[in-house]
Amino acid sequence: MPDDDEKLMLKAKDGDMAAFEILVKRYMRRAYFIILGFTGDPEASLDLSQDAFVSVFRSIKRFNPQYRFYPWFYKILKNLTLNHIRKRRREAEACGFIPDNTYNPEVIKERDERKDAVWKAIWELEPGEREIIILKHFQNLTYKDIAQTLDCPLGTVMSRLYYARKKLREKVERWL
Amino acid sequence: MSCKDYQKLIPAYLDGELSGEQKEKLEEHLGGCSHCSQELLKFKKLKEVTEEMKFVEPPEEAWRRYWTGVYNRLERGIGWILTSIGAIILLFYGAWLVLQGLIKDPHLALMVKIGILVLAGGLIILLISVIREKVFTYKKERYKEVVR
Repeated sequence: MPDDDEKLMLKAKDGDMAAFEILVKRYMRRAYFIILGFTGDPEASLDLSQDAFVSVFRSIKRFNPQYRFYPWFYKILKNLTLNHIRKRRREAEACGFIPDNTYNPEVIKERDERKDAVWKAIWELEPGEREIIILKHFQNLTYKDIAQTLDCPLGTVMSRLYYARKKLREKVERWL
Repeated sequence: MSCKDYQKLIPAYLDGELSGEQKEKLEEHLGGCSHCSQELLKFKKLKEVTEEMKFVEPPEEAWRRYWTGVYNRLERGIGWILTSIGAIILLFYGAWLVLQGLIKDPHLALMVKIGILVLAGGLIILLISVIREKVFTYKKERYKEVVR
């Protein structure tokens, strides 16, 4: 039976790089796709997701094995991603323009007009709404997993998903 | 429960996330409410569309090199720390030697010596201030900007 995440973190804490490698390989895809959902930039997503694992390793002493690894890791991922987005926005503003078309339809597989429209609508949602849509639809997490990841009650997940989907539905009504 | 309350349960119903009791109540309501049944259909269509959507996978090569990328970054990070510490030690030692040489120089005017000492003092204060700020930011603000 493979070691659970927390056990691997404890081993990595003791300097076991092989354990850390298993953890990285277990979560690399998930980390990449979460960041992609926020940035729409494949190259930056690969880069930032690797940076997130470096941050995990550097903060490993602060990890409390009584808590689950993934929600802790998710916070690091999200923080790095938001910092990246802010930095990109500041740089663009310094150059005299505000980036409003970071929307990238090419991140979606087997594109067609309808998928482009839906992805654009997802992209135009508020960041919190987009986040919950991505966790549910692109990460396929259960409500319980989402609640643990976002550290909020199950009822909040249900209600956030309802409002995000309702808004999304209104935006893409003609494609349904 | 009002129609609005039932409608809030529809997405969770489609995701198979309702309890047996909630499911039963909703199905009973849907049987007699055409408006909520319409809502169910709309959410169902949305779910079908979003389920078809997947992100493009990066090339397999990217996954094969992924761990090496993480490892290299970790190794390089340690390398940079050691390089910086070494450079700071050498820089301070060099500065100290230059300072000693200048102060002991009998041909140099007293005002110039005082000026150099004040300048060195100022630089040390600035350096300490920058390092302290960096350490403070690292300790206090990391992961604080996370929006839940």
